[in-house]
Amino acid sequence: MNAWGVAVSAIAVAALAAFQWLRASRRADRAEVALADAHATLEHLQSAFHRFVPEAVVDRIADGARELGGTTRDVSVMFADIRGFTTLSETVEPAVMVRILNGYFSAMNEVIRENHGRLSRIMGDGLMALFGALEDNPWHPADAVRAGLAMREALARYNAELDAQGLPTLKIGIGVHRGEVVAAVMGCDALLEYTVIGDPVNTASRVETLTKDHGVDLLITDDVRRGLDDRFELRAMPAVAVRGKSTPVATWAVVGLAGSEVPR
Amino acid sequence: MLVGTDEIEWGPATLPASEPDPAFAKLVSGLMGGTVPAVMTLIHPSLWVRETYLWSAMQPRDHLEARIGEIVAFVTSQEGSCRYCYGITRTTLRLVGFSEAQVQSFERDFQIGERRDREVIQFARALAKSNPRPARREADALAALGFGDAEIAEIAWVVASTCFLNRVATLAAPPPQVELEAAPSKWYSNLVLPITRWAMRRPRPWPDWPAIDPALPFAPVLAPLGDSRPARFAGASLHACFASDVLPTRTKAYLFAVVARSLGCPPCERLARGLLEDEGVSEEGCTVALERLGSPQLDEVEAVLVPWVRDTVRVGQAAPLQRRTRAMVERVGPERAIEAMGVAGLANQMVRLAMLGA
Repeated sequence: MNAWGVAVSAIAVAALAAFQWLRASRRADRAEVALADAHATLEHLQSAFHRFVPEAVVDRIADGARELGGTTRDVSVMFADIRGFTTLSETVEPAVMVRILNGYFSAMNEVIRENHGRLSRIMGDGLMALFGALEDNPWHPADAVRAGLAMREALARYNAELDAQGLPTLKIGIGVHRGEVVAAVMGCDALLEYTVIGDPVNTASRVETLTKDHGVDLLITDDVRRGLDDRFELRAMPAVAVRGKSTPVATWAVVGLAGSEVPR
Repeated sequence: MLVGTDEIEWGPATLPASEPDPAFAKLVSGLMGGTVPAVMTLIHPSLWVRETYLWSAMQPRDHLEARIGEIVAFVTSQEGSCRYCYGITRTTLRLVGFSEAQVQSFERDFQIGERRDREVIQFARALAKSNPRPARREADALAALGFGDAEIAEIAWVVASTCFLNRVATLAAPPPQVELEAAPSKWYSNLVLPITRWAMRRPRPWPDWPAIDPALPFAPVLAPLGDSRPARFAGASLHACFASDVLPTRTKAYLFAVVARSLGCPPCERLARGLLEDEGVSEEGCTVALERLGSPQLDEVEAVLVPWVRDTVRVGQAAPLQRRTRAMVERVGPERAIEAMGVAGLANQMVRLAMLGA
């Protein structure tokens, strides 16, 4: 082959190589875009999933954790309920009621999170929050009571907003109990929920209903009280028999928190 | 895990800004690309906090290759929700030659790339989150991939020292370095890549840190690092921290104890309680303060700092912590507040590092 032949062959090989390189490069670009799109979708799903299952649990699932069978943990369980909700819902348009409720849950969620708690479940006008369920927290009883006090203040602020709009204001009752529960992702293929089960959950719910009987807004059990220090101002309530308990349940109304803590 | 710097809420600075003294400013700008970073204008009044911050950012290592250290610092900052450090460590990766796609694969945990990188990232994330704090056996998984003990110890060290940087930056809340973050997208960035890579990985003029004094508080935690440069640096930081008299030793010991308890590290809590006993705090008094995060035995400053420091352990979103920190600064004053931020950072560092001995 003469010099021209070599040159033409070399150019042809170079052109072919360039073509192949360009094609591979385009394929890589397309793959990168597809990967980014797929990841954006996954991120969107993950962030949507966070609304149903706590972020830490989602991350564990995403990290490939197989153990979702549940763990036994010492936690504080809080129930809160709106007083007179049925009557209220009869006097307000459903759409307005939904707006009032959503604002209420947002306000409560914010202060629960600020006090190391996690909103676990919303049941109509009621909520359940957990303290110490997702991370080791040796101070969960005090956190739960601080959250209760913060909810009291947050509700007062929210009521002022409602009042300014000519809407009815809300009253709530909060019950807190502490004990060992099983925390797990539960449900079936159609519906999954991260929650806790065990006697302390039922007791906390009963304690919340006792707020009506005692005419107070924040009640805790003796088990919670033992995790508090003397800065918490408490008032003893008479022990009351509750469904599912063989002995009357002694409770304490939380008046306030003395001292000069850094506000949350 | 938060993905992307724009997902992190970030508040205004919690401390007053001022210019550092010229000698320190010259040292910092010589080491940090010709500028004094915003965080230094906030924390420089505390000599030991600024020195610890500066040299932690330089990442002293003896055994670990630079690229692994850079990746580890990046994912740790991401887990720490530190907007400031996240931006800087991300930019560092780009400026030393990682492509945007590579950085995103670390950032978003794409299961692509080298298995060694992926395992290191997983370990770094677990240690940074510490929910629960990983045990030594989890570090052993890295050994199976060919990492030596000294390298594994330095990976944990980089996570731990980045936690110090993250805590101090998050608590002081300097404005993010957006101009620096834009540098990799400049048209000429690829042309100057060899220079920036050299500048960021060049040998540092390390101070001559002395060997660790075994009587130093928390010295046992540093044992797995041997007599390495990171160990000597960490020892010097601890020494300087406890030698400073802005906050008393008792207050610092309380802060270490609270962080140890928050992260579930009984050996670290024992070391902190030992310090408290040396300072005249009874065992019962210590138990009461730690169980309740408050006690009549605490002085006015401790009563503010003890409940505050537990919020520095696991940072979900930075802004609420910064709000509380601003209130803390108002109560105790900037001088004590900077030292408290440094102690919180150092305690978070030491308790995470203690995992190696668990």
